[in-house]
Amino acid sequence: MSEPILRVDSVRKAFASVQAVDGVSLEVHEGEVFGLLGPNGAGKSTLIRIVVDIYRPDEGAVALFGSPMDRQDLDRIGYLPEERGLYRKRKIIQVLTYLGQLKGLSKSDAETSADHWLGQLGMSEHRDSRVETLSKGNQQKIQLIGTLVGCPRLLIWDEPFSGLDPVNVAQVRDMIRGLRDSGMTVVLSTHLMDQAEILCDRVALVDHGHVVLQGTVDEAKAAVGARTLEEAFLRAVSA
Amino acid sequence: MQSPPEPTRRRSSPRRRILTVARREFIATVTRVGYLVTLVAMPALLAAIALLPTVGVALSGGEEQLLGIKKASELTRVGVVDLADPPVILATSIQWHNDDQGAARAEDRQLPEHLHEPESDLPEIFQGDPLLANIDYGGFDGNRRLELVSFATREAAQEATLAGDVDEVFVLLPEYWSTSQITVLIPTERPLNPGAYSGKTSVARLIRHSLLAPRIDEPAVLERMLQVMEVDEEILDPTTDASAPGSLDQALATLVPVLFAMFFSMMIFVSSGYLLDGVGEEKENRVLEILLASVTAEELLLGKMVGLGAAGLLQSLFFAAVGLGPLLLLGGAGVGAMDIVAMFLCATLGFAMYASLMGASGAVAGNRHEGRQISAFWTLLAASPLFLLLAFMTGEDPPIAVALSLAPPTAPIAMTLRLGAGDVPMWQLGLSLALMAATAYGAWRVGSRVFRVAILMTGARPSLKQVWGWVRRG
Repeated sequence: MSEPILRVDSVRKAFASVQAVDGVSLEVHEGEVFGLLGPNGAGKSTLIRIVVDIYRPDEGAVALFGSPMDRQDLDRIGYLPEERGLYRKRKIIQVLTYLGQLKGLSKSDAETSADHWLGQLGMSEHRDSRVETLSKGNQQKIQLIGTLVGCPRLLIWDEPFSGLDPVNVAQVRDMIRGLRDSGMTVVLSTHLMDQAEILCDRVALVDHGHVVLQGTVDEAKAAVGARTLEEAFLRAVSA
Repeated sequence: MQSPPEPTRRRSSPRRRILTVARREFIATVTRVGYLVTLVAMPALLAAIALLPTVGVALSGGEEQLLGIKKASELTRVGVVDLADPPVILATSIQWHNDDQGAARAEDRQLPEHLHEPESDLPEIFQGDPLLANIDYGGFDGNRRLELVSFATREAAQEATLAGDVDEVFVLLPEYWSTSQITVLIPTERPLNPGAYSGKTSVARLIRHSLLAPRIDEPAVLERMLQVMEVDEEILDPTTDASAPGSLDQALATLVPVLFAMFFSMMIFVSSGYLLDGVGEEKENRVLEILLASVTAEELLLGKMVGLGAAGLLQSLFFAAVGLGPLLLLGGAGVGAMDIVAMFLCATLGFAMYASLMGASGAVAGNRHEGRQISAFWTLLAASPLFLLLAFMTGEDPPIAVALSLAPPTAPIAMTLRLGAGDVPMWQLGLSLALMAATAYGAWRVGSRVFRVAILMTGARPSLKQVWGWVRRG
């Protein structure tokens, strides 16, 4: 197997007396959709913030693209946080271009990339609209495009389905599939087990800062004799 | 789903990321409607305030209507009714006053020089000085020619007043001898100048003449009692005339440092206010975490400081050009080019210091409103030297002024005031700038630490103990 695109090695992080991440290790390989699953407060978002260098781990290490994490590596990561938004008063193309520039692209390249992804998601007509004029679903799409505009190798999406209606959930699901088919690596953090079961190649189930189950979806289910991922998770947590 | 063609990716460096953030912050700020409105509206507001009196005069039918005072060249007629028992006013005294007026006209007797119609392009309203009314110059009352008219009854006086034959009437009441009580009849209310009567001094002079003339035999004594003092000013050292008390240059020398201090204070607080608002807005919009996956908190804060500092500087320079430029053009303001450079350095370092703290305050606060509440503390701290303005204006460097200009939190404003008020020893200026630079760096480091942790917090505002913990742990 090739060198993992992301390796998390025995990472620990505490806030005051709360151990948010407790010795987590995992690997994500190129071209796969990796599910980071668990209930709210399990430590998924903290782990992701460590991966994108917003938080520094108390212990352990993170390696990206085959070498210890360097600030430059963040240019190749598209990150969608759980708590997210955009500059509401600015035009969509301005916001997307800015996000691309922050990833090291020139203004013209960032604008070209933004136009490309707006076209791919059928949002070109909104190019020069202000963010606040869009529906919530379309704003979420723009947020997703914001993670793609920097031409990343690795996407990390934290709860991408939150707040979406079923139609938009299906659209985002199709988008993830399309990205995987184009060779993109996606780390998907969610507590929606049914979506993860459909989309993910491999998963890590996290609870109270620990990885309680890890492997392919089938391996995870088989490990605890469960029929669904949700059942597997519940059994793993109660074990 | 197709990916776009692989772009040429520049190696992103902290400098490039800081400049990218700075550029966005600058453009986003200077293109805001609020920014542009403030840019235009502030000078327009100041101009409106300056022009308000003129407009008021024009709308009210002129200076006379508004203030109840006539111009120097116009004749004012004032009535007198003597109801006192026995009567006070002597017909000869009225005759004496009016003869004196007539003589003044016949002799072309001049008003005191400073009351001449000024040769100036200023609007008429600024040419007279209402404060000089009621000053007796003998033959003139204040800066106007005044004729006294006697009426036998109050009714006749009222009729003449309402008809506009006289401007006002002084009625000596029957109990005058025991109370000095006089009633003044005026045709209409004078809202902007209540209690100012054109003939007050002349009537007082008339009464004194009526009381004294029958009782004092020596005309010279009588004359001196009526006109006790005639003042002339003698300047002993004409070379220092420019700094004579009350001169324009001295007024400017006092005013300009204060205005400069206010200008630079404005630059500090306008710019750091933008930063506070910007952080609050990004926190409310939840954009910050997306940004922090591309730039560090330190880079983000520094980029904001550069971009918003430039936006604030641009706005302040515009205001300065409109507001301070004319003052400097008047000359003699006592602020040299090097002083202005030093003031600019103080303001820049002051901004760097307070912007970091404002940024951290914005991050700690739950929203923009809360951020403004927290930032009020920094504003008061930085502006505190303005509360001790007089200590700086003496130009003698009292210890409190020196101390405040060396202490980094108060130095930006305090040193600016000192630079404007007089010479500052180079070592003190250098030390102050060095301390400010060191503190600005420290504030940026501390601000960034707080910023990095607090920026992703939602819910309850952290306690001071928590914030201190973030600062210590880094």
